[in-house]
Amino acid sequence: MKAVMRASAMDAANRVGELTVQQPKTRTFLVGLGRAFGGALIFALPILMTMEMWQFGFVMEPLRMALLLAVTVPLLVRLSRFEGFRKTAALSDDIADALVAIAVAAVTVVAVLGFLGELEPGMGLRELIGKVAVQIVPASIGAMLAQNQLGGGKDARRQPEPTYGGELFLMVVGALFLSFSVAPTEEVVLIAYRLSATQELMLAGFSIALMHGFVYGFEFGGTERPAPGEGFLSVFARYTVAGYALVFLVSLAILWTFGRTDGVSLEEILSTALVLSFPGAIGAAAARLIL
Amino acid sequence: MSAGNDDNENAGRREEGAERVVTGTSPVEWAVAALGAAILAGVIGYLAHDGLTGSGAPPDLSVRVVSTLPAKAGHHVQVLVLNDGQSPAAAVDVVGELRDGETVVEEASTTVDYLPQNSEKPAGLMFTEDPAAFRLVVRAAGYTAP
Repeated sequence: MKAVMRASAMDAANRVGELTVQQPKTRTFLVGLGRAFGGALIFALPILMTMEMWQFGFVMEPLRMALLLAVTVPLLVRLSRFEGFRKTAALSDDIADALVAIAVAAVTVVAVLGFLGELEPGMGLRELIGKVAVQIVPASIGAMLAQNQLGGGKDARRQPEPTYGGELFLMVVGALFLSFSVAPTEEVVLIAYRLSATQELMLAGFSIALMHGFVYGFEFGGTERPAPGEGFLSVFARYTVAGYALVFLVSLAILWTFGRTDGVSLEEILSTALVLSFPGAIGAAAARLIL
Repeated sequence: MSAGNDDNENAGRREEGAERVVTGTSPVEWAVAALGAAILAGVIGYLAHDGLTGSGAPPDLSVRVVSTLPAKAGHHVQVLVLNDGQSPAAAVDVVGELRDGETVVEEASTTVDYLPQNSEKPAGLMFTEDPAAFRLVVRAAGYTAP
């Protein structure tokens, strides 16, 4: 069956200037659905088994949590262009994929939290819904990432030349994903307390250097080559520095969502965001390589 | 969204000269997508409603005695700690006293780590004296905001 599909793909490639819409096959969709469950599990399990995340379910501001979920949807839709369960052409297909990822995430979260005894009678509705809602975000991103990371190598599909905006978007997704799994823990706040200003600046410099090294230096599979004629400073400023700035903003947004900025001095907020930007920077760089 | 809609958008793409194979959305996938949309709308709707109309009233803590059992060392009083308020509480101190008139004969206490809004959690107090022989008073003595 696969061979047939590949043959038809080659036929289509020969037809210049034409877009061939394959008939959707239920079996293909179900296979993709299975992969999505796998992705949601693999990517979200560490956070599903983190105590702070259970508590955030009922401690978090409900409006901030609603906003977080609402923001996740366009993010998933955009991500579906790069990843997702299949090649998509129309926006409506991407929206369908994003909503499927949400459904997969919700089912996965309810099942795992249920198995772990974290959804019990006697808990209030607010607690039950909150616990599931906060975990849907990482699980749905995991479901969406599943195709490329778990799918066959030949079917892996990355747009060959993502635009500048596309690269920045991938960095935001990577930062969001990695920071999200670290942000709820007490350790982030504790580390920020302990570090001096000098150490924090060094951490920021280290993050930026790693970010650049990951993408351009370390010769990983997806290592990027600067465009011919583009100097180091240009690449460094346009991708790494701009990317780190976005990572920092993502860190601030996540801290605000989790209520880690309430009643905290500006200095402490910035230092916590710097600490959180360390995993965020790694996530951003990894996203450019992997996605 | 109907299949016809998809076709229109795809037709628009065709004119741009794209050259790829894409897969359309099957009815099964639309059904799963609809489920996702329903879950999303439900959760966001509930949270937004809760955030906009919730009073944000402080925790309303109370303790109820469920049963008293004999234990190896003394007596085990099972209690249920309730929070009927609209805010969660952390480090809830639960205190139980055995009183003989105005005198406190024995005191036992425990701490509930987290007590979400509109929730209850079971806890236990251990006494060496028999609670049946005295007046048993249980209460929540304090909490911190999580």
